[in-house]
Amino acid sequence: MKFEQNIGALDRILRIGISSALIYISLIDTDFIADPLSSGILAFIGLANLFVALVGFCPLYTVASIDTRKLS
Amino acid sequence: MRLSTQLLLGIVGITVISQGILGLIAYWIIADVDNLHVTRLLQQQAEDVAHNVAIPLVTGDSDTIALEQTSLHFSPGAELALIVDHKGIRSIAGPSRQQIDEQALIQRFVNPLVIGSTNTGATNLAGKEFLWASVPVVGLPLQLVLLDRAGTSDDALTATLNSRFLTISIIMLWVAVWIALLFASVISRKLNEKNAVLRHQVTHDTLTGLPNRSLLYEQLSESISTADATVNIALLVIDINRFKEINDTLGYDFGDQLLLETGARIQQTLPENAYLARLGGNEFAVFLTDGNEQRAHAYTQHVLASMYEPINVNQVELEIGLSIGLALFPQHTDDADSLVRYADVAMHQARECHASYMFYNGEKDGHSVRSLLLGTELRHAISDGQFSLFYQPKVSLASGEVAGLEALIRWDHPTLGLIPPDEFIGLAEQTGAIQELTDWVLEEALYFLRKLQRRGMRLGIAVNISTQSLRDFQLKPRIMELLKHTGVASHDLTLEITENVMMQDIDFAQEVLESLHDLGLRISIDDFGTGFSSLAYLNQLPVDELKVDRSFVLGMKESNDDQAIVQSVVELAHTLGCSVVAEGVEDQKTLSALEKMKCDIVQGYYISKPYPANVMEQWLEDQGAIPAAPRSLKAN
Repeated sequence: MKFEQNIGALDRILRIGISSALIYISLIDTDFIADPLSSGILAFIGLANLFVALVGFCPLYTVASIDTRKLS
Repeated sequence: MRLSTQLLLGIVGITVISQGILGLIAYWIIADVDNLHVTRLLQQQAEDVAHNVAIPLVTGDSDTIALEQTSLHFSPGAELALIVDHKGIRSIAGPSRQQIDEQALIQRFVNPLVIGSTNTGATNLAGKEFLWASVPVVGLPLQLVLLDRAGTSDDALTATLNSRFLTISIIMLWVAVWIALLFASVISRKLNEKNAVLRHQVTHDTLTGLPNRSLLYEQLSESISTADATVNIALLVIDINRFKEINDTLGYDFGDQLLLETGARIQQTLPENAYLARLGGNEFAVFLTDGNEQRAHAYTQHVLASMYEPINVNQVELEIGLSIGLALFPQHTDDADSLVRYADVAMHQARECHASYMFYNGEKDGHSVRSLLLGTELRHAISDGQFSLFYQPKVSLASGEVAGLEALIRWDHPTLGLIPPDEFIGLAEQTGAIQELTDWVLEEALYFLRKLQRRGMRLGIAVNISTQSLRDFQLKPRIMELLKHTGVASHDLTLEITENVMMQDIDFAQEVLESLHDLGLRISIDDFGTGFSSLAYLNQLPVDELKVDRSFVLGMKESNDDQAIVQSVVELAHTLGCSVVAEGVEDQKTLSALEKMKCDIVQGYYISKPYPANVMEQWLEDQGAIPAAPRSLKAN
């Protein structure tokens, strides 16, 4: 599927970094966050952002018509 | 730092700080809650232990063992369990019992003991914080005290709260960044739009929407700087003829429409690599980025052709003429500023010569530095006395007597030397100094004439009048005043006006000349034969004298044509009832020929060169113009 690109390089790197950290503390290291609800939410955010970062398209950006490729 | 970056950092910063503060507050709350919770829990556990320890106590089992077992069972985390009564501590159990000083315990729990009450609190023992709960042992006059370490614990609640807090922080941070980006992009987009609009306003003309002068310079400079050796750039300055008249007669709205239409037509003629701008007023500029001379010629024709068809504005049809000046890069100059200036100069030259277009000619540039310098110096020069009048006699062929003098103005500049009238008269007109100059000439000339007349000479004086002076309403009154002042008779003053000037606007000339003629002044047409006279009008004008242009007189020697022309002018003058003067007589042969033709008056180097006042006075004396005995004219 072709996604319209609107995520810049730096943006992508940050997203991947933070998503990985979130996934780690929520799913991999199960003791860090005791509350299942919290870890669930964080896992969700982490996975979603990882997906968005890899694909290059953020729907929120489209709604706000932001494009970070040229650093608006 | 760019606005969007500032905005991003600002919002993220605020979020982080507020989250920090929130975190601190949350921590205190959690810590308190934690303590509160632990205390309640402790109390609960103490009650459980107390309840269960009562039975063995009653039955007589060893206190300590009972206590140990029970406390271990019900409150595994407790550091210390005590059974106390008023007398002291009955038994201690718990992992910390070695470390704690009994006296301290007695002081804290035995002395203020109230049997039967339930209390909780915090205390400091051996340097560590403890929470305690004191509950009565049911059925016995004893209190059970349970102590536990205060502070952070691996309690599930704390962990939950912490993780929730972390999650919320991350979400908040995410939202903050997103909002910041949103704001930043919206604001910068709005700013860019505004900037673009402003820039457009600043660089474009409001009426036509075409680029304005400053944008033209920018583009021109850029084209010049990126031009290589083979590139020619042609700049055209296009002026709408008689625009001011049109504005005055038909109104400014009409003028605006005219500009729009002209701009549109020129736009249509533009080739691929050309650029059109409005310079302001009634001027447009076009530059061709591959405009060598031929192409420039061709394109100019094109532009002129586009205006052949009359322009129709509000049902009024007008035929519009253009005056176009051209300057070429790199032939004429390699600087954008000069290019525009030269094209402008060329345009004015075209105007003056009644040509539709003209290329810049460096030699005829009236706007050179020297001209500018002279222009500014003119006024001072008059008051400084740098000007002087020279006089050249006009002699009657019939009587051999001096009929009059022509006053010729000379400028002796301290550093630049003698400057010819051709150069400074034009400048004087441009700078408006012509009025002062003409006044000065008239005054000098009339006073000199008066002097001569008082010495007994009978002659007149002739003064050259320029175009602008003719249009000056003050001319007549001033002449009248001067005549009155000096007492010179009006018929002794001749005004010499060149043919061209008169024919430029015949009706106007007629009006002015008749008015001056009414005063009694004599009118002379100078440089006759070089303009475009209409014989009908010539007949109508109140002319007293025609002066044949020197070119014909000089040419009489060599050319029969010139001789014939002079002859016909003489005859024409006589037919019209004017006297005729031949200017530029330089030898006897010419003089004789003129005599044969019945020319009335001669003037020239052969008779006399122009001389300053005192020299001329002497010359006149020598000639016997002062009535002693009229002699016939001797050649000089």
